[in-house]
Amino acid sequence: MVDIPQVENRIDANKKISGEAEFIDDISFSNMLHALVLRSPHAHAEILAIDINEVQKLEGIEKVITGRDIKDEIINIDIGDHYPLAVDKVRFEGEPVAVVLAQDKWQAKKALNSIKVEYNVLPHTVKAREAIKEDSPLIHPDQDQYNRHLDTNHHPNSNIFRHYKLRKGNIEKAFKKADKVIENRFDYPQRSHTQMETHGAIAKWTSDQEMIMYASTQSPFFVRTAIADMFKVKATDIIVKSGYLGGGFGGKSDVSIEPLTAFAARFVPNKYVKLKLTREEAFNASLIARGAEVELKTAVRKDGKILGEKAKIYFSSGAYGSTSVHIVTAAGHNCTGPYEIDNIEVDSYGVYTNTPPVGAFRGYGHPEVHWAKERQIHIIANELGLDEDEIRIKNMLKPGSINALGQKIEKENGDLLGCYKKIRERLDEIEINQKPHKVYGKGIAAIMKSPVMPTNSAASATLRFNEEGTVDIACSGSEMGQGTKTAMQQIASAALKLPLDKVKIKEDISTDNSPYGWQTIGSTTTWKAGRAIMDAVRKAIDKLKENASLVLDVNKEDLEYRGNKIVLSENEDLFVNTDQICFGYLHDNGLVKGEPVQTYGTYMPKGLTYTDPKTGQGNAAAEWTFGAQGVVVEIDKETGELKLLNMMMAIDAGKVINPKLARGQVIGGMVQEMGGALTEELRYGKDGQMRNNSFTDYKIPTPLDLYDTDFDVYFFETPEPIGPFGARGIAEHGTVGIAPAFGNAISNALGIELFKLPLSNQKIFLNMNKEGDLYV
Amino acid sequence: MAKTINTIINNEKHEIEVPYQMSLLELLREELNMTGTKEGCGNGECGACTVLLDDLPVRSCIILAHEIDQKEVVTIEGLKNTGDYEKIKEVFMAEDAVQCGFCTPGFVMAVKALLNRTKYPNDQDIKEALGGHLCRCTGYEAIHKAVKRLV
Repeated sequence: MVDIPQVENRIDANKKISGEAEFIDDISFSNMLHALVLRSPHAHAEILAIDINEVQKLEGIEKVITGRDIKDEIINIDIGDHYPLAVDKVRFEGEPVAVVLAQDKWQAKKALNSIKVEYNVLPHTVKAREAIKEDSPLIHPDQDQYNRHLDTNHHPNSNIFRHYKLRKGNIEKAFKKADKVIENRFDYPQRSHTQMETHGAIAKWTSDQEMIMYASTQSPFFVRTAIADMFKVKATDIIVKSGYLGGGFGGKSDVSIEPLTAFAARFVPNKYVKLKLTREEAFNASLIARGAEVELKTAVRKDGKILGEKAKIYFSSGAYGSTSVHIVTAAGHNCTGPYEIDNIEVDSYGVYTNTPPVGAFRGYGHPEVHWAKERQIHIIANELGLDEDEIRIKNMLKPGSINALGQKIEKENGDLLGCYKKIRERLDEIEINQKPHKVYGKGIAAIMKSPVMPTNSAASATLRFNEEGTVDIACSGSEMGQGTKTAMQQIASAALKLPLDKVKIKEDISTDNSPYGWQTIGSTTTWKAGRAIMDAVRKAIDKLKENASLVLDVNKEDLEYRGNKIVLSENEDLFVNTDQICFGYLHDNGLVKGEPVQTYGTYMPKGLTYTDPKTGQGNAAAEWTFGAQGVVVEIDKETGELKLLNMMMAIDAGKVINPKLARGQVIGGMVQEMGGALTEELRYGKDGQMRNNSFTDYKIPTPLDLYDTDFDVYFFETPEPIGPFGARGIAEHGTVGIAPAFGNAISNALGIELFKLPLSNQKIFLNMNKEGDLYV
Repeated sequence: MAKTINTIINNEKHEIEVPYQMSLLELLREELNMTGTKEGCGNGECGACTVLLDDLPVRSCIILAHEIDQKEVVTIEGLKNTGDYEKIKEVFMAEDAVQCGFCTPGFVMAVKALLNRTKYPNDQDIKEALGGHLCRCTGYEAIHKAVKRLV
């Protein structure tokens, strides 16, 4: 195994601690206009009239833009259902209705109040299960006519815009053979990503019809494609730049506010237009997260063998569908959990609802279905009178198993059993110091995760040797806290056999000259961009050898690359230093031999295919990652107050590139998901307005919730053949099983089964002396 | 409506005219180009915009600019040259208490205020100092470990 050189600190630590790191809102230009957005106060309404006469007369107002200015600009990622500004109809509270551009944001703020909009309020729905009813208001009555870049298998005359089916074996036979059929419904409500930095974008159109945009995006190339498609211009005319992101977590992937910013800027050529969301807007006018109801019907034998499972998953996907089509798919693939089940019938639905659109959020469909699946296993164990470990281990995917997609699981996919046993062992050894009036519970969950992505989602990298023998590398992985650039530096340094300080990673991305990278999502950058870097390194080494062979006058094949020098394999005394040849070798008489070493590396996930429309099976997942998680909780018997004592995860990371950063990713993911497990839920009033669009009303974990918590993170290292040095992605996985671990811990502490997140203190209190599942 | 104020920001005297509705955060970021102080919520809920006002940590997004008249402000830019900053930086780096870095300057200011108050903070002191700061990336473990290293 290769030793990965270890950095002392992440490469951007100094800049970030000192406040020097530039985020989108730290960038401004002279004569820049501020864009302020008038948003719909209604969840669902027709726009009857917009009066902008008054506002246009106000001092300092450059331009007012409404949906009437839209010709055919539509955001069509998978489904062409979304205009950058509402046209004739609003479908969620917070949807943009008009944009005011002004140099002075105070003037713009004042102007917003002078725009008069007349609405005809329509019936609305915020929950998928309501939205699928026949008498539910149709949010997109014309969805049949929409252009689609992908067949999403929508249901005509309904709010279902995506239906993913997965079929394996014969589910009815399984139910007939079962000793017991256990059926439950689990609810995972919508959440907000709450990156500490809200979304921002700055755009300018030049007179050459070229657009330059700075954006807080995880996906500059994706934004470029979407905006080019929206304006029917060439992708090369759209230049998207991104630097540091104050958190992404998926909520800054795909597109959110960038199309609107680009659209508004088009009306004021040659001026930069900045749109920066307030916190309130980040809650109700960017992308939101999750929102799934999962019904599981499981056929089991009395020895705990799972014979079959039927799952129905309903996503409350919000008003527009493109950003969640593939979440529906990922949830479908993964709803069986890390188990081999021979008979499966899954129907996963993306359903239009009158809320902000749901987009990717760390875990991408997996936490939703694991909440259901890992609670279901726990409940099955209780109902059969068996140990939950026994059921999990009996049914676990292992080498040779066939997963739900029909893929064969190999040993190289990771040590699920080892991870699970490690967590059980750690939970068992924790001795609880029992206090009066408290009860305690330990909860466990097993997890699996696969990224879902287009089959051609490439990554690439460029490598340049400089005159002094240092190396510049660029790859299009966004830095949003996960430490991508640091990991890339380590991978490059290891592959180049050069010290870390000789390798520099370019930190910002610009689509006009950075190497292509589809998006920084799905925990894929370490292995995809990492592989692209290794490809570039391989080519650079070849080129260095070529130069060396000319200088030493030997065959290239007889040379060996050793980092700082290239030696003749059979006679080490014959060598040339890398820094002497990386720019071509300069002889005393001025003659140059060889060429500068600059290379390009690429990586494409191999062999991915679309899933079969009938069975939903196919090679849709490029890799699998397995692990297990556990929590220990203390609950106050009188108040229901829950305190987290321990939180832990074991994950097969393949190869840990940077232990400190890897631990930070796992813990960060777990705590983020603890929010979803215990406190976070977007709530809507009867009028469909979001009721908790602030940190006061939407509670994310604070330092006080975690101060006394002990964390354990265990890395297993079964090398992943497609990853650099065997590494897998690990950035999202901390989220996947935390909610069920809490649910199972509460069940063990109080003997009640809860089915609906979040597991708030209030909910625990109201249920603790009852049988559980009071709907609160 | 505006008011002329006299203030010291990062050891430098300023006489500035500020509109009454302008927040201290806006003054710092938009007028004085000190962008090290970040805006996370604009409502005093997250702590990202923390600065020191006469040595006490305040949320600059809910302090009006004219309120700093005759007072002294220290921002992350002004903290950089103090010995405490180097110490704080060192422990934040050692524990990798930084991920996206957006909340970090606010945390650093909170820790500086804590050290101003006491050289030997106990658990309760640390909880009080950090309790109102939000971080969505780290899960706080690394931040807590970093600050405990200062004790």
